[in-house]
Amino acid sequence: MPKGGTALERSELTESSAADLPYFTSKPAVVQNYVDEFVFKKINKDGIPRAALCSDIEFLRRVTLDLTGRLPEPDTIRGFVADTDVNKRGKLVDEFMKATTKGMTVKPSTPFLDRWTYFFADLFRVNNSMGAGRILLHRHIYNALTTNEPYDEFVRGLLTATARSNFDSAQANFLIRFDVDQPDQSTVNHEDTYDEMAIRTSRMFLGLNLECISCHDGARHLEKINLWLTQKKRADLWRQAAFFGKVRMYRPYGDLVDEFVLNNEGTGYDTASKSVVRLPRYKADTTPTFILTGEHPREGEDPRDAYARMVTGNRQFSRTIVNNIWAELFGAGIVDPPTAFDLVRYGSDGSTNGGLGPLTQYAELLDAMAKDFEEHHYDLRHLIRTIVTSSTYQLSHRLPQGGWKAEYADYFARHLVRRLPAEQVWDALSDATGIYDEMPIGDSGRKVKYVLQTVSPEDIPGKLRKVLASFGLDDRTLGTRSLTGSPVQASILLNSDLVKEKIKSDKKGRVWKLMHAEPPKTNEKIVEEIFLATLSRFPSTAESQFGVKLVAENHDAGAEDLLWALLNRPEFLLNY
Amino acid sequence: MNSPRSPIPSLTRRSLLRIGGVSLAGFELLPFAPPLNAAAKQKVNPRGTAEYCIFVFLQGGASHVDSFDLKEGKWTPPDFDVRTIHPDLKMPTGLFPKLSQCTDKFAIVRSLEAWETEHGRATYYLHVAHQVSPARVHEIPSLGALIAYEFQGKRKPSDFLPPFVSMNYGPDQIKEGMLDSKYAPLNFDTKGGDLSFVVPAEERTRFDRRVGYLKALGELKPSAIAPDSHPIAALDAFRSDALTMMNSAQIPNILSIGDEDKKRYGDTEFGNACILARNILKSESGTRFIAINHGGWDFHVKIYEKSQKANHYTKSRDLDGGLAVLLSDLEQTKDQDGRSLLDKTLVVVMGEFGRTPGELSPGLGRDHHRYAMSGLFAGGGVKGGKVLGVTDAEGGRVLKADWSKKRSMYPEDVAATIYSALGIDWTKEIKTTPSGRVFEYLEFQSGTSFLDVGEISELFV
Repeated sequence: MPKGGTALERSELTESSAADLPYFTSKPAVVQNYVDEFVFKKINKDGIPRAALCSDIEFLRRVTLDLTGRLPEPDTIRGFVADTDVNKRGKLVDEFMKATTKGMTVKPSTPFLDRWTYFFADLFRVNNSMGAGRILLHRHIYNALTTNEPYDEFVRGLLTATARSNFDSAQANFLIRFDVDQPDQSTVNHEDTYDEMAIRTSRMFLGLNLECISCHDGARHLEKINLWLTQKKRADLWRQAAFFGKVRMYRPYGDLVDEFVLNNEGTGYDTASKSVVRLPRYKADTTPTFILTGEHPREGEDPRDAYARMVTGNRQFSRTIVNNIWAELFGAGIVDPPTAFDLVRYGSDGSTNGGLGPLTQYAELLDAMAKDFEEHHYDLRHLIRTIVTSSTYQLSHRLPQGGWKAEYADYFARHLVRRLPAEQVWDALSDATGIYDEMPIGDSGRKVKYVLQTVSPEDIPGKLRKVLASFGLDDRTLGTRSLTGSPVQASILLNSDLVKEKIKSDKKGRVWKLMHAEPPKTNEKIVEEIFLATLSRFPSTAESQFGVKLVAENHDAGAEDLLWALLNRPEFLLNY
Repeated sequence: MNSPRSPIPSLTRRSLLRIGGVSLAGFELLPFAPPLNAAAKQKVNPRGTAEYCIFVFLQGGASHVDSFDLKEGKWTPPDFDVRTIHPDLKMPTGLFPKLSQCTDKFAIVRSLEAWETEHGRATYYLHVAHQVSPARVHEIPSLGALIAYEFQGKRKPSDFLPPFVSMNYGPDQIKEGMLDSKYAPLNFDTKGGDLSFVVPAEERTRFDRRVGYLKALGELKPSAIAPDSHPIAALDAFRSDALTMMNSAQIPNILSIGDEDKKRYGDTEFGNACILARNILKSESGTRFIAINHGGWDFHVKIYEKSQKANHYTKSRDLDGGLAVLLSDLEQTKDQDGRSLLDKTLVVVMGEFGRTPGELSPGLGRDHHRYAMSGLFAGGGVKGGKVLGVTDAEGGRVLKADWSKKRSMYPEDVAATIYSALGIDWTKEIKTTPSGRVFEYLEFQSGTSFLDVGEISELFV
């Protein structure tokens, strides 16, 4: 429930120029929930300058991109800025997250579900190495989000799955993804695979980067990097991996096909077995031991059931998902990067950290959010709502008065400006121009028109995939998403065939429809609509005059030129 | 096909972003920034015989016993047409008809070894000359980027192409790491690629008009985004770099692949890449290092099987068709001083490891093999016709390395050779790195052994 007034004030911005843009008036930020209580208290205590709340029109663009991966439609923008409901921001969020599938015969695609399915598919590295099973796992994630399945149950299902074939069992694909083969690729190297499963799941679900200790002990390597890992040994990883020691994976269906059996008939973690990708192991106790608590499986308990129970029951599990989602929405985690939890430094004041300082300003906040998440049955929608309805999330990116220093970024005292990820860049181009691609999903016969709806990068047609690779698309194999820029990206927007195809007015996209509307629209309205569709804002007076002149003089070609120019403005590519 | 799981981890780049990994300028000439504490450790004398380097990567690991270190046995197909070129050199002329005819133009080294047997790690090692270090994998630059960095001081105001260019690499390409993004590779795709830097002549008027509008809009206040917020300046700079290239009168010629050339080079993705490489170097417009990815040599199964769309025959002929013509064209191109472009360009052709020798595997292919592999070197001072190194009867182990050191040559030595040819002191290091650990251009310890890294000077004498 909003706690304060929402009086509109003329901006307190040091950068005054944006105030000339229609609707770019900021508001004072008031405490909306406990997130703000923590953050504002810390900011005030340490005397850090804080940004004002962003304007409604900026909020609309930001939250539409963050929650649905798409740009808002022009009419939505007009409606939102005109709406006088003081609770409109919260209502918008609820509208995005509404599950609308009850009683429908055809399953609609909901942007919110597309976007967050893609997020988890990135996190779980869903790709072709699962073979056709990737489509099943993608659907499994989508359905879990649709029904708002509690996240802990969802994860336990992934960790404990067995299957006669991952081609007919969705959840088995999760672990299958991490198989390591023997050098001749004929069979699975089980110990390396167990290590990989432990490393990946500890990273994804516990924010711990155990890969560091897969080849050497932490001591004498990690003192300047991670004090918690410094205390750990290779054997600690093996004992974590030993929870998977009863897993057996093999390919009875054909040598080079990624169709696996996944069962629990393994013979236990054996340090004597040869490694393909790690340094040779030495003899060590490999009783399954949970690295956070030292716990072993109970008498008679299946080790994977035990692991699933211990992982999802640990506070660190909640912290990690909260932090991952925070990082996705803010551009940086409360602990950053999200795989870098150092549990010695976390929550400490830094005085005993060997020169490394505290891990984060907001350990208390993260713990409070983790606890809240648990108390709400690991509800992802509740988590997302808590974040995006806070004033902290809604702060402007514009510098507050008082001067800014780089170290203030850790306080979340302003919103970070960051480039859209590759998939959102392309979907924004499609929506802005009204020209869509057709992307078939494997052999399923289904076609999608947004990159965010693809199951994995293999569904993206070759030429487009190369374009997206230039924009740093997460290929879910070796790379991670990159948000940096390059001359190639600029050249793609300026001159690539794929982009030019979308802009051409004879394609009867958005611009053509505007120029040939019945009844005809005025040039002012046309220009306004082009700005709303591409930059999610109204043009300034000068911009409108400029655009109107273009359209008046050159008609369809002029409108095309204007569209091209706006798509090449840095503003188009940025989430602010 | 199962792709090998690479253990190269996906650490994020937080520390780079905070330190400013995104440069505020593109690759246009800036006052040369002093190297970040690069200091030479021991005394070496780089020979500086080359201005440029072309690196052809035989991705997947080309079978050395079926190419440059030919070994015959019951398995050898007769249409390999193995001939003795000279007492030290037998070549499968059926696979390399053109290269077999010009062995005086290049040198072969057969006493190379790799440290790694897994694609990702071995590819990394070849391109970076360092072992994969999960802690540092995002800061360590590839050879190409480091070379681009070293040549920054020689960049002319008229240069308009980036110093590091590549063809047909994928998103997993190793890039500039902690170095400025102006040393990042500009990767072209020559398989029906969209050469977005070339504005078609018939679109030029419209393009210029549009760019004019873009500039005009940019000058209109206000901006929705505070101009001091980091990404804006970088994005503007990158666009400025792109426009410089796109407005250059020479770019359409450089980046276009003419029909006649296409045919001469074999009308293949690799042939096209060779044409671009030749054009780029011929223009002498700032590019120093070109890496060409010639992929698909990883024949675990049915290596000689002609019914397979891709097999060792097709790969070899692609390579032969492109490389031989490239070497010839480079040799024919002379500058004002009469020096040929081949004299000025060190060409290196290698995969990331060799393949298992002798009888074929049960799958009728060859698997990864690191104890012997071959490389081809040409230009930049290399003496053509040289053959260094002898392996055992099957091609499994190096018997004689044929150089000053009593061991095989490793990726570090190949890197030292490239640095030396380009006049770069390979004992330098960079102290101010994001991780705080010193980056040595070449480490003298690899894995658990010490290595006295050196250039293969025998190639040049």
